Amino acid sequence: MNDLLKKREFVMFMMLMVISICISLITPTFLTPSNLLSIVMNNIILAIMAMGMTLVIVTSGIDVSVGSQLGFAAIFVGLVALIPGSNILTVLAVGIVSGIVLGLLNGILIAGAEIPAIVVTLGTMNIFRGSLLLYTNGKWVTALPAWYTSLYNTSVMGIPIPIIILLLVIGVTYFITQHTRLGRSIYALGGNPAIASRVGINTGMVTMFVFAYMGALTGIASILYGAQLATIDPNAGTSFELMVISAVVIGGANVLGGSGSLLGSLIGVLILGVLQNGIILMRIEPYWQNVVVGLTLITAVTLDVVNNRKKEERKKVIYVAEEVKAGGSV
Amino acid sequence: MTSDYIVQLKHVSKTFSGIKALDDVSLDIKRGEVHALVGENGAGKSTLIKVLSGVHFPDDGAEIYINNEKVIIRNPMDAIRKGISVIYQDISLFPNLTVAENICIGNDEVWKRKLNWSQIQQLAECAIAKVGAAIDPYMMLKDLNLASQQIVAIARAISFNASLIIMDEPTSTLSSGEVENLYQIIDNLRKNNIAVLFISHKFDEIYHVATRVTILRDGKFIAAHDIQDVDRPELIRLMVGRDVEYISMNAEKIWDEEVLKVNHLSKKGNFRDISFTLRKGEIIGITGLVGSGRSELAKAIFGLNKPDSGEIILNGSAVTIASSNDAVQYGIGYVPENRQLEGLIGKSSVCQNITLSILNSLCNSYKCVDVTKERQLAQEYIEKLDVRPTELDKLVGQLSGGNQQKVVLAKWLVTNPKILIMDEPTSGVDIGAKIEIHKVLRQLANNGIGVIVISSELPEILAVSDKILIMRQGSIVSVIDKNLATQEAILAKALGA
Repeated sequence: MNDLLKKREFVMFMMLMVISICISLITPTFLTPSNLLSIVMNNIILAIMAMGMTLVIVTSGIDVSVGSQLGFAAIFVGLVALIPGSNILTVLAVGIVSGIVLGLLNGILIAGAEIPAIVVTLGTMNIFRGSLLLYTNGKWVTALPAWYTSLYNTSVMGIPIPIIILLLVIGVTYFITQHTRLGRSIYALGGNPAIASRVGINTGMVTMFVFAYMGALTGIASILYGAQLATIDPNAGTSFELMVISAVVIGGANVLGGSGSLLGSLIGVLILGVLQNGIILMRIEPYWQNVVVGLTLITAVTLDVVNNRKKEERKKVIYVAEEVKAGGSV
Repeated sequence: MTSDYIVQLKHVSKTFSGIKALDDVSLDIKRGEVHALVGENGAGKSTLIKVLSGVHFPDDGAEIYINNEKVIIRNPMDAIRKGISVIYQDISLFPNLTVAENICIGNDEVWKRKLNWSQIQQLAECAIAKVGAAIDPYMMLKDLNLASQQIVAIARAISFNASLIIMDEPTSTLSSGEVENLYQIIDNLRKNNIAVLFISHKFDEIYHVATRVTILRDGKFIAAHDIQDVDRPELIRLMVGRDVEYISMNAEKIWDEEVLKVNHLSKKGNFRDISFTLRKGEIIGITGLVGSGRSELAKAIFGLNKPDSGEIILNGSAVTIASSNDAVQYGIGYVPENRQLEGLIGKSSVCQNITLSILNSLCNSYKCVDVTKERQLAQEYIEKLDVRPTELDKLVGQLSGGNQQKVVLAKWLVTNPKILIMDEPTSGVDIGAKIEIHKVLRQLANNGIGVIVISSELPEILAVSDKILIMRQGSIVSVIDKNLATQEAILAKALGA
């Protein structure tokens, strides 16, 4: 029980509960099944992308181009959906492949040319968005076929398809992180980069993988994006990367690398989703949303830093006590 | 008979940008022996370990034999697979992974594409049991204390079927109970025919655990002996005795005036009950092993390391030095060991570096820096200290180490200090530049500055100081007048032998 209380995920879960209780006290609509479902449905894309971003941040990388990637892949998916004869499978393939290509491009530049991830992805963020606007001339993709747009609201065995997709993404990502050499290498690389290659980890390959995987998940998210909104703006996903990164950091991932969990990131997504929902339900001016996201982020990280410092100090005290007991000199 | 050897090194040299860190070194390690590797700071022990463990590649001509077979060690993983593992002082594993993962990572037997956790746990438990310890394989490494982390590293080496485990000062972070435990583990390894290369500065330990000893000095192989064939004075004699000759310079005049008096200064875990006086015109040399508390003491005097108790008296009155700003106000200058990191800005010019700390006093009535005055002042000092080339606009990063050190000195001298503290003033500079820096230090002292020089290099301490303080484990164990000191005597005190 004591261990559970110390867990970062538990602290964040309690924060989520407190926020939820506060909102439900103010507005009774919050705690209705339909509202809770809509919170989940509105944050599927964020959750899918947060899974990929968790891996990126665990390796001590960052990807600020995912918003642009989302727009890029969504437009492509939309254009392919408009072609007669295309179906779910072609759309799926186009979404995932274009995502992987964009992500891999980041990965190759970061691992191959050893340019810092923030620099590379800041560059590609602009390049992706700019070329998309050039290509579309700023025009929206509209009149998407019904077989595509109905994707978001169809259920299989009573479960909406987006939720099924999210569960699959969580499952695959969990499997990678917990049951494969690659997954543990991701954590090892973030935990001690100087030593990682000394134990035989191909650090370049690991880096390329996490960015390509981030791209693949963004591609999957882009398919849902078009289906959800039925029209696709070439500016789609602008500054969405900040939401994704915020959710992951609120969930406890350390931007310096080495730590971060899928469960934590999912809780981070829910915290952001609940706050956003609450602001709407409580009829607070929507401009408050940015302020609230920022405050939550800083509060969460401050809690973390303070906790860690306490832990370190406790460790030090124990060490000194042991020294004294052992009759150590200095 | 040769089959006795598990590892043999012959003709190993390693050159870093022209400087020979290792020069034709040999090392023979017998199967299952505990072999001590000794030498002063900078003798080449670390470089030798890094060559052996695949971190550095040796210069051409080196021969490495494992089990009498000539091999090339390509990288650290290659060394581990060939049976050579290193336990580093800082452990060098993954704090955010579990004990079991840290033991098994990179081990082809279990570290497969798809991980089988029961297999991994089994291997880890087996390795921990072989060390004779009890550690939960599911704990995160960062939640263990250093002694247990060290055991994990040893367990990792065992699971890779190491035939040689290199331990780099393994006891420096352990309490005495934990050291006993480590001796037990080493004994255990020896019984299992695993050799240990033990790097240590502590003679008690060396004589306790080692069966043979190899001595390095200035990157060269000096001797290898069975431990019972060398007594402590002999071992010290082999470790010191460098060929370099510095010019020893005596003080022209030492004033009676005490510029600095330190009374019973203590800081837990750093240094204990330190008292000494520094007079005007005097150079005090402080020596001791790395970790003996000498640098921490210097930082305390300069306000960077708050002492727990004791007092610092400047010119007769006790003062509190709470920050480096205070120290500068009191006329104390401090040149840290790593001038690149703490002393100089490599990408700024010589002139800008020299005047950086006194820009306020160079301002004209418009609160802008008076550039003419700035350049005049900088020019004066680079001539006085003979910085070469004498170009004010040269970037500091482009100067040689010796000249960089002179710029650091100039930077402090423009503040008109009464006391100057220098930590390893000549590390990384060539012999000619060292002698020049020694001359500058003596000249400063003759002009009435009190100087404290911290150095591991005994000939340097003997050449520049008027009085030598020797520190060991945080205390001053001896104060020797320079005329009565020898390298052997100093090292014996520093080691506690």
